[in-house]
Amino acid sequence: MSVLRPESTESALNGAFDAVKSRSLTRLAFERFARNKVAVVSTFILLVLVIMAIFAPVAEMLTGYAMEFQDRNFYSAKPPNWDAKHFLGTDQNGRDILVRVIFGLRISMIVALVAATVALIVGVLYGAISGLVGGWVDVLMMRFLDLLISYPLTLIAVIALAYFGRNIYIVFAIIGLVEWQIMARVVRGQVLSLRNSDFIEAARATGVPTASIVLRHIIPNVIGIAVVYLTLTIPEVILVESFLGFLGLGVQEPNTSLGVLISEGATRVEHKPWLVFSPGVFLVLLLMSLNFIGDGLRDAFDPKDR
Amino acid sequence: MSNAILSLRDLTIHFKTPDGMVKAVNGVTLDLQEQEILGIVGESGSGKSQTWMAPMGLLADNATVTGQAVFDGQNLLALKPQELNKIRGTKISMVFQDPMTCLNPYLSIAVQMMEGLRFHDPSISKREAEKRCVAMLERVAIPDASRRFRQYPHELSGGMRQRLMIAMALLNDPQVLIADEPTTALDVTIQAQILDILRELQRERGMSIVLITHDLGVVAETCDRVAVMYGGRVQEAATAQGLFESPQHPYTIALMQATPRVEADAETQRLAAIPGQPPNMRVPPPGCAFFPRCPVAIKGTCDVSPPPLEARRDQHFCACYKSDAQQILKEAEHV
Amino acid sequence: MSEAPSKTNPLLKVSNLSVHFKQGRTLFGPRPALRAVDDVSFDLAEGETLSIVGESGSGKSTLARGVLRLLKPTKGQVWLEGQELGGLSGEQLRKARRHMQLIFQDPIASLSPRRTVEQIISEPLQTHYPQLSGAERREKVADIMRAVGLLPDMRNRYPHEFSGGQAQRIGIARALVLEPRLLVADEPVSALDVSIQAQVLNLLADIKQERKVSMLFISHDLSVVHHISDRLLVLYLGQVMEIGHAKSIYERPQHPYTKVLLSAVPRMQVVGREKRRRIHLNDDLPSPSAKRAGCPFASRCPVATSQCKAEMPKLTDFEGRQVACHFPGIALEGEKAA
Repeated sequence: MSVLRPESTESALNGAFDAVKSRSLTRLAFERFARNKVAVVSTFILLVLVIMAIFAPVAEMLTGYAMEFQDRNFYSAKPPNWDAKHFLGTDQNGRDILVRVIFGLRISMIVALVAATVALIVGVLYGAISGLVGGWVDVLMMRFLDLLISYPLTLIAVIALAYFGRNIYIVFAIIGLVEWQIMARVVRGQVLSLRNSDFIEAARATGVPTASIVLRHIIPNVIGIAVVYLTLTIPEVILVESFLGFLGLGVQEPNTSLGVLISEGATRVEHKPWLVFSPGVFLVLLLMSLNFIGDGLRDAFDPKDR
Repeated sequence: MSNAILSLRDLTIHFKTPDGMVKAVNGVTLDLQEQEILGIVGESGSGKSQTWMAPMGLLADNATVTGQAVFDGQNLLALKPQELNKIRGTKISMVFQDPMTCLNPYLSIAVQMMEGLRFHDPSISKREAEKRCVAMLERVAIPDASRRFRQYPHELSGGMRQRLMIAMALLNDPQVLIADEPTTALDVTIQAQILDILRELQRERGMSIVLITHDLGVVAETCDRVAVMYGGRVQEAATAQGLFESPQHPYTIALMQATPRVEADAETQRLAAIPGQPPNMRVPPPGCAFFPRCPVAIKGTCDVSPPPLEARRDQHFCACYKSDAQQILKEAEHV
Repeated sequence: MSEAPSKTNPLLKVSNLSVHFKQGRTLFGPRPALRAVDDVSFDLAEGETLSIVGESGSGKSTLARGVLRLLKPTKGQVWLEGQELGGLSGEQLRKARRHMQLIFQDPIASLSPRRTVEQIISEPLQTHYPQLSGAERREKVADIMRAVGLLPDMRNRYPHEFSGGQAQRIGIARALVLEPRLLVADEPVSALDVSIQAQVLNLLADIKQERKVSMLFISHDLSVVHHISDRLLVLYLGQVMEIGHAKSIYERPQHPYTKVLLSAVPRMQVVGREKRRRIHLNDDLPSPSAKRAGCPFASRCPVATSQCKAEMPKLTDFEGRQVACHFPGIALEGEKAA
């Protein structure tokens, strides 16, 4: 193959190619994320919370109190007592709050993870199919979403509870099935704009088969945005769980969740504020860190920046 | 006889970005004379637009501006926003490439025009304001002006919208109009019309126009004086005739040779392309910004410090160490 | 019906091509279709470059996509090397795409953002020559990169790391790697700065010369196509106004629209600019969906008569080219009599 005239070759070669290392878009996104201080701090907090939740039994060992253990000396909710190793006080039944909060955190996180995974899988598939197929299939699928959105989430959860009994995991799989709507819409929007983009047309013009177009060009460009909305879905699910717990519809004794703990404490907030304070702080930390991470990821992946 | 109406003195604009400082404009000193059309030519990244957005206070928040922009004895860069607001739209107006970004699609043209007029002078009666607006629309050759006046922006064609923008910019009888690529988004037939209108209006009203463009042809057709920008600096400034008859700066010469023309002999199929890429303004070259692409550059001189803008002859300024660049390049062309 | 290709047969033959877009319905029935391309015919010889020139809304990009069958034409046929593309099955068409390639206006948007240059350029090879080994493919990619003026070392970089001009070279490399017979360039330089524009135009001129590829060059800019066209097709509202050898059209345009278009191009000549006459048009661009009997340009034409508004002129031979005007060669006001 002949090389064309030197001028046209040279011209591109001696271009201003600075000696920076090549970085992919994903890489660039993470570099931008790393520059976002709030997001980095949030990631750190979330990591600590996750580790606490995973190693919840360690708290039992450290304090010497099992989650269900009722300390007779500390009945009817006593304030924190460091000598007795009740660092955050006890509840009505003399159970250690620190231990219960950590176990509550664990349940809240598991439940959120279940729901979010369901939301991710269903949402991405649904959105991608709707956007790719288009036409009346798209219209039908989107109208179905509108239908789902018009049902209040809590109502669906309550009905599901009545039907399946109080198996929290089933309930949250169902919440996940409802929570994927936003994900599906976002993914569909992304797919639609990708479908009309020049580089997809370029692939079509070259004769690349549709399956390869989806695999090579569409999916890699959808994943980023799906992850962003995943991190924003999780706090929403946790909030729903807490609300159900608050209504008394959450996990059953002796298990607990942050929501259940808050609802128990809320009744006595005037005289015994530590009952609601500790789970409240954990819930706020968890929600805020997830939200900031989500925001940080969204900014980092935002294609407008490049 | 000609006096400067807007003077830029050592204007520097840097943008702080996550990937480092972008040194967009690096010491521009330039006068806009009374009653002239000054063309600012440059490619993207030359800093041509920023240079004129700065005095209007229209730069993004991450910009640091130093230097002066003197208008009417005042340094516009030192004014408070509300003081600048009084000047903007009345004494200095701006027209942009895309009219739709400046028009509110939900308000009628009447509402938007009258708002601008009465904001700066609340004493005008509604009827008087209407009359002036319609007259202005007629002046920019919008057919059926009184009907158009009642319509909404999306009902106009692209060319008509741009003429509407010009009409709105001129309502308060400004002394200076800054037009940033006003015809770039338009078809060539419509462009010719807009340029003619600008020229006529400038003569009629005795105002000054800054015409920012990437198109040398537009400059040649319209402007009295031209400044060529590259790498955030003025490389050459001259009368339009002086510049096109005898360009001095190697960049100007190269740009002219690289521009395709309808009037040229098409048998010479190849254009004289400028090799290389425009400079990365995060790390601009230490010397002349054109050094890496310049055919007559002197190593050890041009890449050390940027050449100053010096007078070559009457009204012709050039920032180049090589004073005989023109002859050398001309001879090379004929070989 | 397809004839065997012979020396006299053109590489590409487009006959009576129309692309209309449905525009939905109103309460009172279907809205008229948008006639983006209306009854366009032309051919393209081997190694020839035909420029399609028109302003926004002239349907030039739609025409390109209709020819490449990225859009389904409403009417008409396209023959590439004697093969009618409309008669091909989906799979046959996909395979035939290796002979015809497209270059885009926005170079960076036309490159898949999360793939490396190597992946982008080798995708057509993977698609049409899956039997090639990885090493052979890399070899071909390196060759073509060098040929368009890119360093093969850049192969692992991503599109966003390139300037517009370099990205356009990548787009050109992707289009050339299959050694197509037909190259359709849709405004390939209008997003680029003048200095870079010249580089890319020269590259395309070189490609044309050294690879004997036929090119459809689509542009709104008469000065850009001046340097690359053998022939010129002037399109207005989806219809051909004038078609013929570029040189003669530039020197002696015969259709009023071509004259207006040429007169409006700014010249780099200050002296005498006051006297130079630019013919003004009103903005009354008729909607491309409006039913019209006459010439599409009639509403803006400075010399239109009632006949023009009533009857569409046929494309007829005039002075060595074809002009669709009832009064070909008519002098416009302010124009020097020839």
